[in-house]
Amino acid sequence: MWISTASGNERCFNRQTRSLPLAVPIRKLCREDFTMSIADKLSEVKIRRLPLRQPAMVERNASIREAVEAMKTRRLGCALVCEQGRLVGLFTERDLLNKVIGEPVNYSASVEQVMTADPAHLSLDDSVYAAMRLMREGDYRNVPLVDGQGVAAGVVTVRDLVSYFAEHFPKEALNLPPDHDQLMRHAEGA
Amino acid sequence: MICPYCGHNNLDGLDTCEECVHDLSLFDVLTPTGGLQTHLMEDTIGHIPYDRLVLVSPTDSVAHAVSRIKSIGIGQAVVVEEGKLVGILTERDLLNKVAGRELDLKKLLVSDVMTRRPETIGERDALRVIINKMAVGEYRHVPIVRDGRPIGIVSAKAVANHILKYSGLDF
Amino acid sequence: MSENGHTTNGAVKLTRKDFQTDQEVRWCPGCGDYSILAQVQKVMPELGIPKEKIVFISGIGCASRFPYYMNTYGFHTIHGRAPAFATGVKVANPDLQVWVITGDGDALSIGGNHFIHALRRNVDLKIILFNNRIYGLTKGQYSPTSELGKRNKSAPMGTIDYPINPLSLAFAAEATFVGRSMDVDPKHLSMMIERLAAHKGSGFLEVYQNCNIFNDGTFKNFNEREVKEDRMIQLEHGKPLLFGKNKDKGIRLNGVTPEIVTIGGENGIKVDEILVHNENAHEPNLPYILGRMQFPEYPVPMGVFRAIERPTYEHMLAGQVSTAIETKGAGSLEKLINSGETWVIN
Repeated sequence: MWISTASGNERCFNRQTRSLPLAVPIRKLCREDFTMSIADKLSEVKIRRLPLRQPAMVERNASIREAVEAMKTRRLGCALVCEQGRLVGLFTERDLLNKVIGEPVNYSASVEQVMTADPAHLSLDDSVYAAMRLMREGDYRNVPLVDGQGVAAGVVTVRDLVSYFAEHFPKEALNLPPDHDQLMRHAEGA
Repeated sequence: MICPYCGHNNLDGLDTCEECVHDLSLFDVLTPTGGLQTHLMEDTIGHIPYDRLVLVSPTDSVAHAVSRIKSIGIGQAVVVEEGKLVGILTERDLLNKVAGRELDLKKLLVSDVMTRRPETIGERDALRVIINKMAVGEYRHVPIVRDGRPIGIVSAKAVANHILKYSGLDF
Repeated sequence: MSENGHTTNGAVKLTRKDFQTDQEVRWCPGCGDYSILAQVQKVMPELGIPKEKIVFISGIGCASRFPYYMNTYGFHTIHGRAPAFATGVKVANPDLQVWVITGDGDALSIGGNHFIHALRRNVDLKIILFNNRIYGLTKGQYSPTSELGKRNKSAPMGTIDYPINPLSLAFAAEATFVGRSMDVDPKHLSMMIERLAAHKGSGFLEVYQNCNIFNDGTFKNFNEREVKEDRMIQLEHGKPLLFGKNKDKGIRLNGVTPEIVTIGGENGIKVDEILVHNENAHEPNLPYILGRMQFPEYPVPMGVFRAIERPTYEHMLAGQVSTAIETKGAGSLEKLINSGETWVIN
């Protein structure tokens, strides 16, 4: 069909084809800036830049009950076990399941008996990539963080990483309806 | 937006190009252009390894559920009634509702401790839906259902590993 | 927790699904409203209030479709008048928790007047304003918050209106809780919604929301994940206003003008010189100054600007009504109407 344009020229368009006659970059859809350099981003961004939560910390002679209460209050899946501030162990929900629940262990016993001693850890200045790699290699969900002197400084969880990715893709991953069946296929308007 | 047919710089959200009258509304819908964005929008659950399923019933005792979970070496059980998913029992439920209390696990029922009506996903849902459930819903495990029946569970760990696979870093 | 998910006092613990409806959610794919809906639905169960005690009232606009998607009581009212309806609902039913969902067009254009007075009266309403700097539902005309010079359908040569700052208007209207958040930061948004829910008195939360069809990327310059730390500042009560990837930049007041300074550096500026945020100050002078800070001259502040307590309108009204009844008796509307000079028309 022939269309007269504003500049007075005439152009012919075939409305059947969806192919693009011009290779014009579509500004709105281009997300190459993040996706192409994701390798750089993951290696550069330090763990301290993620919005980490306040960790649950207990002393090594604290009872299992105290560790559990600390985890519940902070709504975290693990507690850092420290001695004078230095990280000495990690007690997670998995330890709770495997070593305490349904086992002949009293909640007044010390958490030292059921924690993972000397756990794999990283520092706040390590990269997000290092955290992802450690979680994959060790099959961990929680990685404790320490500073240069071995003092416990926080914890990074697998959910923090998934949230970090989601925040880079708000339109694709954050802005979804409550029920995926309700996804709209086209723009709305009145 | 720039019209991909004639290059004219149109105002945002116009339905047709001012210059060439071509239909622009189909560009309003999110379509991926490459890299991780494509994987987020097109990869489905089939691309991610499922976790093994442990099925229990609401009337089972917590002691039984816990011993089954431990024997398989995972951390959660899916609760079904007549084959249909009614709840999920995870380590977080055990932490919040069982740990630290003097309870007889043989008498406590799964229905007292489980999370009812958990968020679920379908087999054909895209990766971005799973990420949404985990980031926004704050779940670490999301059961996959077909007609209300659970066929697997996706964990946040599996999702993180899948994303890392497409990051282009040596792994 | 006893059987069937009941808490120990017998009330059923609500979940996010209890607040979802079966309505088709009619927002464009990728709209920022979805994120806000998800966070509101996430916060509601944690408030511990039964669904029948919560009301969502909206005006007209994309944001105003909100009540259809919340499984609570709700009103979808007329353009700009949601605060008026909400005032009526709250005064007549003080035990309900009333939320007002509005947009930059609905609240600041036609609804400007109702907005000011609902905040001024300190009615216990929770007003959330979805600011996308455009009229979305009517497909792309400029709004009172659109930037000067923005080209759009009703201003093809660029707008010649100066935009208004919703926070400045809220301070002028004596709002007792003023906050700002954005759709792309779900954790911050849910924290702000919780704080708004807990506040007693007129509460206002501005949410920067992206309209990806008619005004895409309007906030991207400062709220994209990678630049956020350098171009935005998180307000925390009692803490100094620091920002930057390494928290090495701060805000200091030079007279009444804020200035950005670097900690340490050649001038040797110390953290003590940095402005400390105070949410509870009686006068909103400092929060007003913070609310005026805009990109690119300043980092954009997010968080709670002001949170003070004052007796609420419905509380004072109920007090006056009960005093009047004690001193003068309950009164009868029928007698009042039939008093004075009346006549019958045959």
